[in-house]
Amino acid sequence: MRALRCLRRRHRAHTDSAMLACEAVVELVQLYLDGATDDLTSEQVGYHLDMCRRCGLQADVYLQIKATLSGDRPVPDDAVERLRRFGEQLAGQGLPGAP
Amino acid sequence: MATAQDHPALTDEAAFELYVLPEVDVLLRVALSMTRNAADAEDLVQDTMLRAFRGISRFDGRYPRAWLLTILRNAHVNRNRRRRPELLRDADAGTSTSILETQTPYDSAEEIAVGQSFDHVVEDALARLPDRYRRVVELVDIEGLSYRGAAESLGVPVGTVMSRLHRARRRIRDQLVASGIVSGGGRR
Repeated sequence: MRALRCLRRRHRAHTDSAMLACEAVVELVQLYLDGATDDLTSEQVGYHLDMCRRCGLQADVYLQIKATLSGDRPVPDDAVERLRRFGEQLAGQGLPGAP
Repeated sequence: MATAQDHPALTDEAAFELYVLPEVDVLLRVALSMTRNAADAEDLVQDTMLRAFRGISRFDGRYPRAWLLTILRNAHVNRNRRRRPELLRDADAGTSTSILETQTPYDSAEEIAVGQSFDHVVEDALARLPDRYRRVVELVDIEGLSYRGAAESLGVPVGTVMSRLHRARRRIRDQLVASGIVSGGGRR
């Protein structure tokens, strides 16, 4: 049933006139990943990447490249510390509100 | 690289500590570039960690960075969607989050053999770029400048920064495809 729902959504995505074409997303994906697209475009590109495996994979490669290049660039220590503590709490106590 | 196969008896909690916590810095750096806003970036990474924790039992331990970055991208989509719910006129109203759940983040990790070889090819491809392209990548992706900041630094229009940067990254990606490290299925 879940697989059927998934197929239906994908079909709808491909026939949805509001969905950006792959060619448009190829032009926009780097801007999107750099946080340089406006809200509407971000929503449309993100939706497309969510539904289109090929474009999603391409976006992931660009994210990997960015992650590699960012290397040892400093990030805010306090934010990293908060996130690590959050992660340690998750690992130690599980999801918030979970039994 | 540590994998689940190396640690068959790992609990979910231990797997989370092993695979996710060491990547927090990287996730935050990438999130900062996607959001250009420190508070949003931190929220995005926190959301990513929650999703990773929920999915850790299904993660096979291969390429944790690729797995996490795909989760981060999906979390970013979902956050934008929550901000602008009116944009999605899905007939299955209220199921937008399940769209994300139907797409496993593991597919990408299987196709991007991220590791030392990935990093080496990226560094090698960067070194081979013409100076005008390499300099833009250095300013934006390595030093973390905005498009505008890079444009001011180089004394060129923002549009020039964008076109050089995007072309440079495409070349790096082409090199990864040519090396067989990533699938060439995606269009350029």
